[in-house]
Amino acid sequence: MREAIFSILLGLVCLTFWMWQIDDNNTGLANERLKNAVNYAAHDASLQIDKAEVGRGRVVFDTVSAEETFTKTLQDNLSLDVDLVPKRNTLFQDKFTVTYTDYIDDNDGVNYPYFYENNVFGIHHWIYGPAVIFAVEVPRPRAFNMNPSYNLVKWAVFEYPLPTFIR
Amino acid sequence: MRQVIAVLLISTLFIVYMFQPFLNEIYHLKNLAVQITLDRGIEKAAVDGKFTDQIVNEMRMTLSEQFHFSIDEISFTGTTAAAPRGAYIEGSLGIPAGQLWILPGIWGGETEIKELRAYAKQMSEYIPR
Repeated sequence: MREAIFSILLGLVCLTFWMWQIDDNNTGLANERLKNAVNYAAHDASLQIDKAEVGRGRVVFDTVSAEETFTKTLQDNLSLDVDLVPKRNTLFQDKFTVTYTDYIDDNDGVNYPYFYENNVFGIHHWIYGPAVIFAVEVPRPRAFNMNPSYNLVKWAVFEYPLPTFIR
Repeated sequence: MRQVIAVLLISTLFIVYMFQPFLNEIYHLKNLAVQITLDRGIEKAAVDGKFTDQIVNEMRMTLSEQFHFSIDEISFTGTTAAAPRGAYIEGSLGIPAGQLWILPGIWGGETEIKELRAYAKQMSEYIPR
């Protein structure tokens, strides 16, 4: 009887540890996937420039196309539907929100390198050319309902990638 | 007899309690490794417009050298024909999941995941000349 009680108590301690471990691993993986996806999406958004302005030797972002592209790439990389809600049986559980969007381009008349700062999102980044800035927020996926809930916030600053032959 | 059964039962549970967390951690690290390796790969592939043989080999070598998978166990599918600037390229990298449960016959043997895959998709920067 003593052995059985001992095993059960030890099992409860181990179960608590496993729950913490699985939840922590889930959050680590979610962090990695989210950061990568936001990077890919910002990269793709940075390719959306106004072609008419390129003819005048200026890099100006097509903001409508950039935002559409950002959303599309985010959806494809994280298996989200059109409302940025994760599909079933995927890592994330809750709706994603694009919380911040900004563009620094030749319309802003800044000199490069330019120190971009946003204290709300903690963005402090040197940029060396026209760039897009995006931030995304999502509640972290919880392995068990009793685990604490908080949001993951990831941002990316991506400069317009110049063609390789003129870099 | 009762004591023998108790010892057998407790020792089985002890094995699970002691070693299962290590397998969980290894599983998690493999999952991260495949994600990170593909991320490095697609970053280079975006510049070239495709996953070149060199990029694919680099990814295979990274996983093989760091995690001791056989090269043949690492599977890759993705864009291998040059995509022009603004077109999507994608890649999917897979490695064997390995053992997830310390006693697979008792816990989750049937539902065990056989492969860990990472998927990534982004636009090409490549301009054909």
